[in-house]
Amino acid sequence: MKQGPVPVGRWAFGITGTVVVLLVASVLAFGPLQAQRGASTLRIAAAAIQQLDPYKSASNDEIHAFSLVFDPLIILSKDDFRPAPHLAESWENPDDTTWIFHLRQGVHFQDGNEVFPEGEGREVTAADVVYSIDRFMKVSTAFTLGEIESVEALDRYTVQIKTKYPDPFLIVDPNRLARVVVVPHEAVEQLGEDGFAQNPIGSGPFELRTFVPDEQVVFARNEDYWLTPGVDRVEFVFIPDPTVQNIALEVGEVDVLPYVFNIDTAQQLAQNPDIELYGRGGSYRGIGFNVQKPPFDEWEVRDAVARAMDITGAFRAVVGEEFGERAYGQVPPWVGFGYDPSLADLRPYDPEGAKAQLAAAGFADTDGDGFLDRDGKPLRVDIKTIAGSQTRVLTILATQLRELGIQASVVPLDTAVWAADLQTGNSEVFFDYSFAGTTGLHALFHSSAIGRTNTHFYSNPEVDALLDEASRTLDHSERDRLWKQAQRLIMEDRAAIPLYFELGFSAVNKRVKDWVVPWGGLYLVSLENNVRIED
Amino acid sequence: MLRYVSRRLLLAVPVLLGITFIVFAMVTFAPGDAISLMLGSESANPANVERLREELGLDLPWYVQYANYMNRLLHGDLGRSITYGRPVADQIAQRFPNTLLLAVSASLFALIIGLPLGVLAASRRNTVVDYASTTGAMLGVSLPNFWLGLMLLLFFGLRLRWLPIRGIGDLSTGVWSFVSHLILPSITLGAALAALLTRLTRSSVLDVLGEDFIRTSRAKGVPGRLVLFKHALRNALLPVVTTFGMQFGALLGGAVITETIFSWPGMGMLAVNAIKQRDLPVIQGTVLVFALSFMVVTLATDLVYALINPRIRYE
Repeated sequence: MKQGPVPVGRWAFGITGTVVVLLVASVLAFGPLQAQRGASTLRIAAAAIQQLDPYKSASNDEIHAFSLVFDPLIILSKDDFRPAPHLAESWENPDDTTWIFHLRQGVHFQDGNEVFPEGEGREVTAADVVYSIDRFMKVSTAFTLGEIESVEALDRYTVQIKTKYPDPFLIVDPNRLARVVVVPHEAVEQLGEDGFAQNPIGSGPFELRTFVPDEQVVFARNEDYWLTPGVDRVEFVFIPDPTVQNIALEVGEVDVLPYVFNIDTAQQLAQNPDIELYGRGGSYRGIGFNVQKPPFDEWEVRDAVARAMDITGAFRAVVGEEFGERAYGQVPPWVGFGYDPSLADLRPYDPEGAKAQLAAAGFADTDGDGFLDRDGKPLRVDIKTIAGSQTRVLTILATQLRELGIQASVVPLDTAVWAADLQTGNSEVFFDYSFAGTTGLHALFHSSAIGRTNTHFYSNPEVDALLDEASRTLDHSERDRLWKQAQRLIMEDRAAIPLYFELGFSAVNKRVKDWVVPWGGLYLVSLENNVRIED
Repeated sequence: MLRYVSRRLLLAVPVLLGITFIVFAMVTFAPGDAISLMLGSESANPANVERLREELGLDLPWYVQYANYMNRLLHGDLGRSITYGRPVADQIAQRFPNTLLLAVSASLFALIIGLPLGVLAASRRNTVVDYASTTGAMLGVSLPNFWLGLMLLLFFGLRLRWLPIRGIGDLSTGVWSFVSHLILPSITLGAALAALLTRLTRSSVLDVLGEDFIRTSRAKGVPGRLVLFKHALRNALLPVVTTFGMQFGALLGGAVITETIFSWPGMGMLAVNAIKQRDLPVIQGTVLVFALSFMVVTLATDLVYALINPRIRYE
């Protein structure tokens, strides 16, 4: 039987056609999206903001957001990373373990909220600073103030902090006192811990207006602030996917990506005439050895691996001088002490010398498979890493090692697995990383941090002693000398092979002026800068 | 019917128990945990992190941790996020409606594209329309949705700037704002289902059109439109409904990629972030809600099946 088209087919055709036409027509009718916000709204990209208790936040996004609501005692200068005044106008050291901070007068907590009714924002006093430091030390898991002996208010505007030992890091490290923002005890008590985390109240330049976790965070200018903020509103725009964040910046949906984590992205955004890259600080990236795991417990093997690779070539091919700096030690130039480019002279690239050294250590290709072995075991260099620009650098270096007869590979891992594998000693060779802190050398190589941040399982009493002494030296140049000495020993020991320092960038729409890359906190309004928007 | 529904709901209890254990075991015995991640930071306060480990009971043997978790769960407490400290129930309550909205919207898109196109292809078998729908369906099934999403976003968001590239629309700012935010994510999430429904409807309608009762109807002089909609389509819909039900459950759980690309504040994104952070209570909570939703949808599908086909009776 012939089955012709069923007439109703036209009906179905009609439905499909109508839907498509309606869809296109509605899009066309409403036209391109219009910019919906006023010129003085600064829109910052964020991936996740769940809560805004300043002492419980560890993610960059949360830190950026709460930084608007609160004032820290000090900030780190945008030019040289030295401590600069903020809520504390000045400070002094009567002795090596005593710090006296003099507070700015006439700074008030934000009013017009559940805790302080309109016009009743109380003045920030030394007692608030004492309360805040106490709470910070009890609550924060992400940051520590070091060994604090006591904190007390000497008068209404003077705070004294006594440390157990002389501690220069208290104010020079971005993760210590610069992290302590001042909170009013009434807010925590009245709102409760959870309530305060959703309704933060501080003395900062912006007041929280709307907060729906991971959906909407909006701040409005604090009209009573002691400086006049350059923008009226700040909005955090939630975009979890980094690729989409870039698109959002390019279409003008956001004004700022506070951190560009990917070199490719930075290189691509640098081409856009509407976008400016602001650089500041960055991170150390290297190859670490677990020096207790054979065969990497032998200096000769570690040294040979280090000399077998053309690190400078790989760095230039992937990162380049515009986005990074070739590293010869762990301490980056922006830390202010310990940076030592003279380490470049320490046994440079020499593949032939490396080969000879491995042969002297007993490695040879006994089974004819093209790879070196000893006692029946091949020499394997499996570099455990997480995602980042280093993956490509490491791949180039692993290829060079293979050419020399070393079975090398790059093993990409999930961050949590990588961290656990390194801490438990379940790694031999790994991507070595530290961020912008000044205590990185101590964290990565001091024996007291073995199993946590010293994943090299490196223990050298001489290095420990130097690091301990430097950590208790307030004198800048003396600390610089000690830090360099410790670093040289570590590098001579070949506990790690430094690769490069990757610079940190913010990508910012050019209409935003006076941006400063977050360092510790995000400061839109300070004595050094005031972010504004110019069309 | 009521007995059937009660039995199905009772059966869900051991299944959910099993799921809690499997998820717990997978997260607990996998390498890496939230505390290691915190301790790995050079600025961390190790003493406070250790105290947190104790407070959360993460230092206890795994079976004690599991027992504690189940005890809290049976008292209706899903726990708190290790990373953010917020109650898991609050996070889920905030996000589940968003995921549901996206899944419903994607399903509607799939239905309004898939059903008419399937019927059209069947009624015009071996014509250009049929071939075009087949090609479209093949594309819909085979394009990975992360790619489709990014392409839609690049074209309609970046190049043409017609549609928003991120987030959920706010009804209070207008219907268009609300709908415009839904369009790209719904197409991305619903494309594969639309393709599947097109093919399924086509073949199912073709099968039914060949049945004796259709021929009888035609012979009796019933108009073609009535034959298709009253007799053929109703019968042809049975397999389509089953597939649609199963797929709707999968859409709820499968929105992860779409939610991430379009910054949609749903459960998928919550689950992904929790997995990255090894935030066990949040992972448990989201998986439980996904599993429960899947069960409810499957049950609802079975019940709808009985409504469409009176020959099916659940006892």
